[in-house]
Amino acid sequence: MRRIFLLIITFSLLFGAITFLNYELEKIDNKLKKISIANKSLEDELSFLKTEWEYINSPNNISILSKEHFDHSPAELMEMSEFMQVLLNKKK
Amino acid sequence: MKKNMNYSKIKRIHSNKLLTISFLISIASVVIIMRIIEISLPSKDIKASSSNNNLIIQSNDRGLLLDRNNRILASNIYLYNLKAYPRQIKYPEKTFLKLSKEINFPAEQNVLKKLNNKKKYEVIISRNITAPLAKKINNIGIPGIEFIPVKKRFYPHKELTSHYVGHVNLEMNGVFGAERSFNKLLKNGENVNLAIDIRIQYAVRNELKKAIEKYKAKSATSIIIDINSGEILSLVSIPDFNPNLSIDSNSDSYRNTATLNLYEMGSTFKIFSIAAAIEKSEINLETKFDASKPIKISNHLIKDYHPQNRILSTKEIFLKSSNIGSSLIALKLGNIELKKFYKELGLLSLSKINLLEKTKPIIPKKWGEAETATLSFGHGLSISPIQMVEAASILFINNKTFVPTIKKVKNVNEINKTKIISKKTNNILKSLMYENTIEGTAQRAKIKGYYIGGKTATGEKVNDKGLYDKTKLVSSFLSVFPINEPKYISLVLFDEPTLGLKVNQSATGGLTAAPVTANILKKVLPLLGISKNINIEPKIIIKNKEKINLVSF
Repeated sequence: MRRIFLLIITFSLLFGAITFLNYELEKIDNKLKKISIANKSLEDELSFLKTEWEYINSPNNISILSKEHFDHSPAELMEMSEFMQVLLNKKK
Repeated sequence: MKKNMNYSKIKRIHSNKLLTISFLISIASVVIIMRIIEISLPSKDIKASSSNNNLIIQSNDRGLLLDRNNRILASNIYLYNLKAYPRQIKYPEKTFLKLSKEINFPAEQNVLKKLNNKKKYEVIISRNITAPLAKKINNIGIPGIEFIPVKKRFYPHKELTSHYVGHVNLEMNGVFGAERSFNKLLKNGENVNLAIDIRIQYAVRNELKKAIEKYKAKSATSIIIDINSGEILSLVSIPDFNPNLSIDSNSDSYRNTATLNLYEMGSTFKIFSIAAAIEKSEINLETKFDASKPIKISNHLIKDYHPQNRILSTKEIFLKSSNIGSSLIALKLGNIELKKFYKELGLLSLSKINLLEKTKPIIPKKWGEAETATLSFGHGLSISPIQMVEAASILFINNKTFVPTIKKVKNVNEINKTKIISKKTNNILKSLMYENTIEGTAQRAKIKGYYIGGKTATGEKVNDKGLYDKTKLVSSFLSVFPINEPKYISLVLFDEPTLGLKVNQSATGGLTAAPVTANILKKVLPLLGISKNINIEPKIIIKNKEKINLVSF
């Protein structure tokens, strides 16, 4: 009889411990899920910012901005002789 | 008495023990039963929702589309729809005023009317609100409204990449362009690097936009391809559309003219017919042909656009773009050989490009003498611009297994190359193409300091009566650069261009597509890392791997 009691108590303690561990695990799991959601949310925000950055930096927008603020034409390669001519003309 | 007392004491102790044991057993039983119940219950759903936001964790977002330099072409963003619950709103006017300070409601939306409509439980009053604005409005604390997150595919470059990148439908399935071609990969969350270079695409589109207005053309098409890897660096089809807005699939702007439109290309076909004839040793550059008068084959009268009225050499036939001459060359070669060569160039079958929007060429049902003659200068066979680029690439890279692709190629396969022509023929073609920009029909494509080779073409479109219409042209220019060691091929094509009423000239390829190509290449060549040469008139040096062969002209 005593053995049975001991066995039942051991099992109940074991199950009690398992239940407690399970509870703790669930708590950690919930935390992890919350972190995952926060992470996903940050990833989405980052993706949005990257896309926004891409939009702002699109060649079309850069061209509009450059026309508005600098009015520079795109750089072209120049030969040394042409370059010298530009310099000489400026000196004159 | 004492014995009796001891007995009752023992009995009390025993009953206490029994009580403790029963208590422990009952607790243990409760724990065991609870555990059994817990184990037997189904496991909880992995998906979790937060009280702060309603976003569901989805590990498989649609993958991004990136250009060859990792610039975003298509991405996923969360936007918010603003929902109102009219029955919960006590003061609709006040709510409307507060909201209209932050959101610009179009008058036709009748937002106030929607807020006043107590019959409806919920109404959407604004769509596609960005996260920062949604947060700002949320912080005001207006009762009776709620933000619902929605996922959207966003194309930051709008019209610039429309036909190349394509778009998705409401179910986020690719239905056009690269979105369609790589739908499976993208749906699995994989990012795909496309071959396109957004800087080149912009430079090309910008010039084409200017040109289409100048020449009042129906459409404009341009393709730039890396012939070593087969990567399409730029593909522009104007008119185009903004994939971020609602799309009308029946409109002209939706049609990818580069892969779907079929044209009788015209004189660019002379590259192929002359190449075939030289390769089969039927002719050389000095072989003479009588182009002194038009020739009649069956019911076809073949004439020249700029009649020379004399005997021409093969070289002159190419440089003067003589239809009579190329017809005579093709007739000498024979219909079987010409057809075989065109077949090897892929001109008689569907393009191998990995874009799914493409059309089969229209091939003549009968291939007799007349067809052989007209097909030598690109009449009677309708192909798409991508097929023209594909065929030219096969010829200049000298590889039958060449395949054009819109996906970035990591390693170029140098092993599986099957030659279509000899090195000698290849060198002759390069020299002809280069000379054509120096003193032939393509002089307007010449750029100081660069080796550009090219061939102009002007095809006439067939009208409703089935006759060729001189007023409706298809003008194009095919260029190969640097022609001494070909790396890239470009095609610029205008559908029905005009030069205006004051100019008494037709809008030929030499007058329209060639100068536009020059304008494009001036911007694109530095981006491709092709350096300018110091010599004003560069002398071409063609390297021959079999033996050193310096060719200058």
